[in-house]
Amino acid sequence: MNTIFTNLSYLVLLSILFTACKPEKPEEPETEQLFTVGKTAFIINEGTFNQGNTEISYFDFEKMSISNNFFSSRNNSALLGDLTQSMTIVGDKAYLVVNNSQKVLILSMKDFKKTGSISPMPSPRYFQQITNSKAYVTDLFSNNITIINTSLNTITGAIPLSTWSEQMLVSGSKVFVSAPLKDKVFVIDATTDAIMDSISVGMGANSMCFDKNNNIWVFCSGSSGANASLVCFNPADNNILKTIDAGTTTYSSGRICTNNAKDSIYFIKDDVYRLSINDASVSATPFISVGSSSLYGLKVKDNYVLITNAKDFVQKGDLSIYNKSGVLIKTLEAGVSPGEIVLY
Amino acid sequence: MKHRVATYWLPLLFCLSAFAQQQDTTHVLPPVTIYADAVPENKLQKQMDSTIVQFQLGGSLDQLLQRNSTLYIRQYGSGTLSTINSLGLNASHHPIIWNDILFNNPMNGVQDINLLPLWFIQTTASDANYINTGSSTSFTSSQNTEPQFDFYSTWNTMKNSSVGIKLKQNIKRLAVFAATIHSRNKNSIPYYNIYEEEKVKLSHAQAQQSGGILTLTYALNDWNTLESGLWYVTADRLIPPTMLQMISKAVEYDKQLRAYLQWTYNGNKLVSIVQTSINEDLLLYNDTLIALFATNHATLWQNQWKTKWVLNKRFLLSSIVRNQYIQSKTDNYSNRITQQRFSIQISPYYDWIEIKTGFRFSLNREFVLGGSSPSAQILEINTNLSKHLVLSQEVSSLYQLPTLNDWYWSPGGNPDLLPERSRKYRSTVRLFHYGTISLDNKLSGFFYDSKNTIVWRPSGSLWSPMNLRETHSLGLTDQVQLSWKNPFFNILLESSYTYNQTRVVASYDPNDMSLNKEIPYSPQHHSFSSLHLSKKNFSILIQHQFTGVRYSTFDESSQLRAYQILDFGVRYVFTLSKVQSDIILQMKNIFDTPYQTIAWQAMPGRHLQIQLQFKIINLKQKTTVEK
Repeated sequence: MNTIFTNLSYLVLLSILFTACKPEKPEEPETEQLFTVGKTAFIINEGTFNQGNTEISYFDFEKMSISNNFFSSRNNSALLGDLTQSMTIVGDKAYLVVNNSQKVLILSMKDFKKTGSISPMPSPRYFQQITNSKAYVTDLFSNNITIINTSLNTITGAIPLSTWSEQMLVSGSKVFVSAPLKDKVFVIDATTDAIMDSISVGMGANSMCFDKNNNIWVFCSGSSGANASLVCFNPADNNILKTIDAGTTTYSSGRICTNNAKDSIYFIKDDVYRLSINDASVSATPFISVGSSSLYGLKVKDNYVLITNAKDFVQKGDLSIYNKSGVLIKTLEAGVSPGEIVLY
Repeated sequence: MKHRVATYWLPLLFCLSAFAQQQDTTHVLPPVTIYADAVPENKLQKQMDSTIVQFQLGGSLDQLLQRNSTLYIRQYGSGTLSTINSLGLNASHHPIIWNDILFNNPMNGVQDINLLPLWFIQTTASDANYINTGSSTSFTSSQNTEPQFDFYSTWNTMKNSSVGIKLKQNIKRLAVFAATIHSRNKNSIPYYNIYEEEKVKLSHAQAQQSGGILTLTYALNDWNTLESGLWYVTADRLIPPTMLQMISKAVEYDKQLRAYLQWTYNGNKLVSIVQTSINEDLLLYNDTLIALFATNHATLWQNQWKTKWVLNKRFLLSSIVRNQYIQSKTDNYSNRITQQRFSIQISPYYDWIEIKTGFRFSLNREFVLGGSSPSAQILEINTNLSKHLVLSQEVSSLYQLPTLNDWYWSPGGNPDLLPERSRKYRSTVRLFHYGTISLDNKLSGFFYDSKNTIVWRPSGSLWSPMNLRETHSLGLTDQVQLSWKNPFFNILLESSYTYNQTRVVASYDPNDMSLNKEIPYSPQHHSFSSLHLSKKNFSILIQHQFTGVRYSTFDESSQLRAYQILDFGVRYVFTLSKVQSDIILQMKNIFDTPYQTIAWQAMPGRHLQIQLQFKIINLKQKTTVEK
């Protein structure tokens, strides 16, 4: 009996030993949270035409630090392409519109790795999610807005527009599309994918944003003989609520945006200007002046104003962070031609 | 690695064994000299065996220079726009001259050398017509060869093909030379796309080219000759997309017309050539993708009088008087641009026999109506140190005027652009020996100091020309030719290596990111070698080319990797009755090396090419040209 017990004891001990020696099954690494939502901004470095040096920089508000070449660092040194125009974050995906590579790249926001692409589009500019499975992409040269099935990542159709289409905003079933070569903002019925109306604004309509009243503000860069202007309209009835003369300007995309409360409008017209949504005119004195006409990107978040300077659009530009009073806090080197700033 | 070695050596062994079975028939081709280096005329000219040219017969000048010269050729892909880039300077610094007339487009100063079929080029010649730039490529279409009828056809695995016909005939005092070509390039180019990270075929950059040439020479008497020439080439080419793009719908249509009328007096002590010529370029650019259509039309009328006067056995005087009238119209100029230029060039040469030294001083002065009047001076001293050793020294002060596009192109043109000035110093030692084993080695060191160098640089989405305050270019070139002739076989080995460093050393903008950086597309290391073995009717040609790292941006942030290419060709020549047949089989880019000469523009990977040529010789000659 003792022998049996002893043998059993050895067996148990042995099995414990073997169990103990069994190599542990490697644990699935937890997906590291790359970004702190609400504390992150992405800088779209457009790069130089035909140089293939477009990249994404990642700015961390908490650390006040920037990580350049972020796309290639997260994608095994892969190339992003040529001239990234914009980035739109939809849920856990990011859509990067790579203009001169004629495609939209899809990234996972969990790890910022490329998961797919949609192509070809002649000269894509901006991406706008319309429904769960449908998106629009505006285009510089094709005179069409491309319709995309985002479930299948395929091109399913086009909306003829007969001009360069730029930024988009969605309000209900309406999609508002700015047209820089016209004095119009086109209104598209998202259910029928057809143009239903157009709103006459100033020449060179490009960037747009919502204010706290859900009215849409458009920056119009003007043209020879026509000053730049800010136009505010009601998206419900398409009626223009106010037009504010912004003076003469060399061409500017404006990068019009609001603060968190959406009660102030910011835009670039060589320098950075600020006005309340209730103002009737733009102050002659800029909010922030850096003595450069190469300011190229602008966003306002919490107490910070982020501005990119593309310098000569060939060498590396920089990102400057100002406080809400317009005092410079920090300047960081970004990539080549840093343009759009995307908050996350 | 093993399969690469096998790819290389097996055809070689096969050919060597085949040599032994052939009859001993030698076909002598006229020697051809290509003066096509980034050096002043008459210096370090690249002498090429005619067989090397023969292997490229169905191609254009770009293919020949890419593989066999120290020049850097920038090309957007096979069968598309290609230009000469020497020492980082653009093609307007490099005149292309045919039968004494300037080929370069007067708008941008550039000649697309893809539009120069080698089939039309009979001989090449050193020329000192445009000394102000310091380098040039010259060639002629000669009539004074035996009457013959020639046909060639090539086909390669990129689905590119070309055919050509050539006729030379003498009718009494009239010598006629006519040639025509037609090429169709499907450009189904296999290449590795480093952006998409996959091997793909570029199959939609199709191109076709047609052209003809006609020269007539009429001997008035023993001393006087009248000559006329016509060169006409059209091309319809899709511009290939970059590797970064999915689509290209850009099409370029070119029409190039060159014509001249010439009177030559060839006396005992005086040679005089009076020539009037026209250079007309029409370029239509149509990009349906971006709805861009542009027409560019430029014409250059030129009258020139060249003389060479032998005063005595020591003294020679050369001169050129020239008038140019330029007219350009394009959608990118606000209106039609015209320009008148006059220039005079005098080059006395003195041979100081006692000290075995020759001196040449060249002075060139150009007057632009309503503009600047720059001048160029060159002093050359050649000393025969021994029977086999020559030392050449050159000091020159040169200039380059901005082109019409530099000044007037909209958008981007810069009306404030200044003419470029440069000082060049070159020293060359030539060691040579001719015999059963011949050696010719030229070692040259150079230093160029250029002020206000004109370059086009990106500024936002626009490119614009600007003056770089000062650039320095220094380096050395060694060219060696080694040949061994014996009763059993002939060997010719040619090799060249160039080291060059061209940097921006001063800028008008203190924050200029190009300061102390290398000029784009200027490889520091560049070499080529060719080994030609011939025995009886067979010959083989092995060519190797190495191009070092090149920067593609002014701040050195982007670079193109170094590459080396190996080509291998076999040739078999045989004669049946009066028909000489010539078959050439080549494998190009044997190692399938991915490479680019312009950033993101794919160049062809490995491909095979076959070339057939039939020549009917000893055509019945009506009457020998009286000379």
